[in-house]
Amino acid sequence: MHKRLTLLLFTIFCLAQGLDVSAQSYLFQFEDTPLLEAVEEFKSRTGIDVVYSTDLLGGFSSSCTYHGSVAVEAIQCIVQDATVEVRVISDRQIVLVLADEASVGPDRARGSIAGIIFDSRTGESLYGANIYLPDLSSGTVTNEAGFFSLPGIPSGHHRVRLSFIGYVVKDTTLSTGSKSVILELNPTTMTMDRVVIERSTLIRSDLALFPGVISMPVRRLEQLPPSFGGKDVFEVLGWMPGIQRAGEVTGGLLVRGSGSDQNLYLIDGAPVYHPWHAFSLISTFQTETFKDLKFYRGSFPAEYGGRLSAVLDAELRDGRNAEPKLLAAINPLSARFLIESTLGSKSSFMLSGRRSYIDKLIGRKHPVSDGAGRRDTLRTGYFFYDWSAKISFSPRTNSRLSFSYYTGRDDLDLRLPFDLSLDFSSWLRPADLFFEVDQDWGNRLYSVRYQHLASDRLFLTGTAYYSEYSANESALIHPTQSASVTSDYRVQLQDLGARVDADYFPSLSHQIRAGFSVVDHRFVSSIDALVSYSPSLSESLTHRGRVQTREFATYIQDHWKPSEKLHVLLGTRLNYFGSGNYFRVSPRLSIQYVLNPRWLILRGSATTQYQFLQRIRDRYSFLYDLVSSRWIPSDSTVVPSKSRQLSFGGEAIPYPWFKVSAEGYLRIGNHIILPRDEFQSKNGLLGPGIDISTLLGQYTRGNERSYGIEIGADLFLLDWQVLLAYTGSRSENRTPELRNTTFRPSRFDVPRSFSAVIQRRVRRWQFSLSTVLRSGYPITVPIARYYLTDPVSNEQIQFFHTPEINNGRLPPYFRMDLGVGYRFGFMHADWSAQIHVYNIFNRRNVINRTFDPSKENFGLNNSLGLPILPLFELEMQL
Amino acid sequence: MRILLQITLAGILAGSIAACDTVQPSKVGTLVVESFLKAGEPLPDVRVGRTYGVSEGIAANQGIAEAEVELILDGVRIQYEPVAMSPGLYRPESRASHLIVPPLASFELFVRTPDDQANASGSIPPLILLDDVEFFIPERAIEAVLVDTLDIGLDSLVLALNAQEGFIYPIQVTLAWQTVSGLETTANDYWIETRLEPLSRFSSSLIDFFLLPQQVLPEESIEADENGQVRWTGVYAVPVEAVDTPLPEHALKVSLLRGDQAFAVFETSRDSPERREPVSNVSGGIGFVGGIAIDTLRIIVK
Repeated sequence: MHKRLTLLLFTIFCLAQGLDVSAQSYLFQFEDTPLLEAVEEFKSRTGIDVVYSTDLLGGFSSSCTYHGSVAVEAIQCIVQDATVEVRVISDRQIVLVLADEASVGPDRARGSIAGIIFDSRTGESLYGANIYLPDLSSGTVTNEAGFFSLPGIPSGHHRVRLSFIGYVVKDTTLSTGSKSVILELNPTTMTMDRVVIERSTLIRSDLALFPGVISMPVRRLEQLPPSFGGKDVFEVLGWMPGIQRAGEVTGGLLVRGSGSDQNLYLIDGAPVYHPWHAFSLISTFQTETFKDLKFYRGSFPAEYGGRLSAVLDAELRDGRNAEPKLLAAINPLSARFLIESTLGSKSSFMLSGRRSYIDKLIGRKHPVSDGAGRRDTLRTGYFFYDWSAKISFSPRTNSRLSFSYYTGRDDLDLRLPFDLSLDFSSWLRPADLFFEVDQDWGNRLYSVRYQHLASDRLFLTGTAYYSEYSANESALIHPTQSASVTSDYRVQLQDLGARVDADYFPSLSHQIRAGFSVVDHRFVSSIDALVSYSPSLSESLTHRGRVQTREFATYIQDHWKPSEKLHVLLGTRLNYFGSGNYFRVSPRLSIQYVLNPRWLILRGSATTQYQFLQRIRDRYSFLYDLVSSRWIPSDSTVVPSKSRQLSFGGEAIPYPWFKVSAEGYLRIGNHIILPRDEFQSKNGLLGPGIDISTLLGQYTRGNERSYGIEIGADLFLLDWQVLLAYTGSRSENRTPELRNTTFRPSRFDVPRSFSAVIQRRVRRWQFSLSTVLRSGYPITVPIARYYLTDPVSNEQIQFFHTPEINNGRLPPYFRMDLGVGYRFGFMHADWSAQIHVYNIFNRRNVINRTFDPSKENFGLNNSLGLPILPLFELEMQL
Repeated sequence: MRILLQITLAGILAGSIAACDTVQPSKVGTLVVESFLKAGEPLPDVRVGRTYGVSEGIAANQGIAEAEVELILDGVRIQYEPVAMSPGLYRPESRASHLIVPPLASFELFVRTPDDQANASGSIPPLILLDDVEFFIPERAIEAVLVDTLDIGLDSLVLALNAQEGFIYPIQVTLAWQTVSGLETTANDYWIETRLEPLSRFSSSLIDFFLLPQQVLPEESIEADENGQVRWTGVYAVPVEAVDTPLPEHALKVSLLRGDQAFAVFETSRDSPERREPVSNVSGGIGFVGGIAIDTLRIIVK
């Protein structure tokens, strides 16, 4: 304000003095000439620097003839048709600014402004960017396609402020009535230089309206420490409150105490059923292949359904890069690359790949022979790979067509003798007794998405996809010369789906989203197994299963903004599941109230969710369901699981670089599939079979409840980045059908969990320290001993008495990792070398504990976690 | 504003406290009741005791001497009396000591102590008799993996490689018996347990998957021939030093048991004491009280 007043006084002073900023004589003649072009000509001919915003003059033309010696008059003539004011800064500089709103006139017709916002560096559309009209004290946020609409505003020009976390705030002017505009935001420098977040109150509206939402820019996630397999979305999510991995380094994502099968993972709208590689060591979600990630803990909007706990909605990069980009990296587990570029002015592509390479180092096939002339080929193959590709085509600014492809697979192929040792030469020979394991599992999906700005108030998105998960498990085991087992198990789940989503903007205070979807689910499974105990005694198991069903869903929700402080998201989802003829209604309500934009933003939500697909696993046989996920549909005997959740939280951003949040939740789940016999674990070969009803006999319906509080702090200042998370929660279940009417801790109940990531950049160096401290997982601890007598031998056999499941707990888990990274330039490329030391204190955490009643005391046996492990990663970007 | 912040902080505190582990310490001293009513045999003893400390040995077992034990067998009430010098052991009163457990009879057992009471019920299965036992013994020993501790776990980075190969005689044994027949009962009601127990047992975590020394299965799942005879074949192993070592002479106990579903559940759940405890059919306590039929042979194999 002070500056503007000074400028104004200076201008008045100059004008009062009759200052002629030029003593030359000028002749300008423009007839319907684009204004930008006319102003540039003025600049070149007068030598006067004219400062203006392109958006301010874009769309206007100039029709002016001026002949005189006063440059100010000349420029005033040139811009006379535009709503700008000429301000003389000095004799060599003129500034064109938006004319006062009052000069435009208050009683105008209504119009709208609509457009799309992109990242100026990568060309990616920005989801969640803010568009704010300071003069109207109103605004909106871009949708997943970067689209926004500001309907029902006074016609004319409006000052607009654009902002987004990690981007420089941009002020510009937009006019109503014009076609959809394309806007760009410049990212703040985040690599080698200091990180600076622009102070802007608008940054608060970047925050999601729902409790439990994590919508962090991918560029920010990329800054967090890498994991075993490089930059892994799931590993990063593990640093957030309320989210943890099931195992030490493996296992699914557990959100608010739920099972990992209660999460929905989406890539470009298509579900991924088994998003893991390397026996769940790393996920299929590589951070750098995505342009946008949204993770909903518990409360998700009506457009999502079919899972109880969480949704990860990831969108692959568009490849709309201004310049071609190539990234290549290698770490102990895999090597990967990503390339993206434009294809002409309207198309772009992204292609990325990743593959493990240990099989290339040690070889997959080993021909061997012995002195007797016997030959054999031993196999030691294991690898995994991912391919992601996306092609985008924008025939016009208001529409975009994209085709996405993802495939990822693990392949384990072993043929080895049993007497393995670390001395390769001792077992690299033909063997009579050997085992073969041939397992492969993975996902493949295709997605076609069309996004179209039908009008300045209606945005349509159509998605069609095919998603397939399949797993094959084959084994041939020869432990004696007369006994063997051969088995071939296959399981497949295919989804063919389509959905349409529409965003309609009837007014500034309402944004309506509605849509429908249909999915055809096919479940196929088969097994052929033969166990030969002796040449004349064998058992076999053969089964084929095929189930097909359809799922329909439609939803509608209104994002209602009664005031600038209050946001209400009200929606409902209607589901129909063909198998079992289930109709289910899932209402959702979320409210945000900005009590004080700096100190307290309150959020609350209440949702109901249903899950129609359940993941179960045979609990008897080693021949199947070892690595595969077995999904089964609800039917007349398997009622869809239901979950209701209440969340309430607050958030404060006392400084632009510091955010703190706290959130409490209560979740009640019914018809949850739980093991009938908690003590049963795989202990045989054939098992009861793979028929769905047989498998279901191993499970029972139960209830679960979880509640807790999640506290997070996020500091992002200059060289420092700190992420703190504390979760205090309980997760419990019970199985009334088995007369277990009291709740008991669930398998992964963690009462307390604390994690921290601290990073600092010093010039080209980056140092990170990350730590996890949490309660140990529950275990069943015997409380007494007794013995029983064998009815035949009269032998007395001791047992532990374990009347309560999960009545004890493993020791607390603690781990600290250290990371050091160095960035440098070499061969015209940006390089990054990282060393990550896992478990720097070499603390061997107890990850499992067993008890043996045949031994003295407890016969306690601990399984220990990983020791200290140094890992490296080298990354190159062109 | 300050009040709101205070409320928020109070909520956080309350939530943190709510997160406290509420796992309760458990008690010891659960009532243990055990008895097998064997068809065609005298009334069995009943053992009544309590669980003892997890760190204590079997010697710590203390039977309950002051319990009241009553058996109702086909409507006949039989009182049990404590056995002198054997706390926790109860025998039928003297007037019932001559009674034989009749097949197909129903029973109920009641145990009352000063602190608690327990009961169990069931029925006695028909008698079972081994008709025939056949052996198939290979001429020579065969190569086999005797010791394996292959255990690979990503989380714990365990890779134990101590496999050893040796030689075994896999001996195939076929048992034959008459299936259940009669109007009162059918094979649908019963389960069969078969056992091949050599005196010196051989066990390998891998080879055990390929031996069949014991099995519990529904009797109806075994097809009977026209004479009503059913057969089951199992395999046990005898380790030897070398491929040409003759089969050592050894004793084998062959057992055939018949019981109801509760017996089957009990038997299949007591084979891994390190993993679980048996599923009990005793209400108000733990242990097992069931009716069974047994036939056992001891055979010298050479």
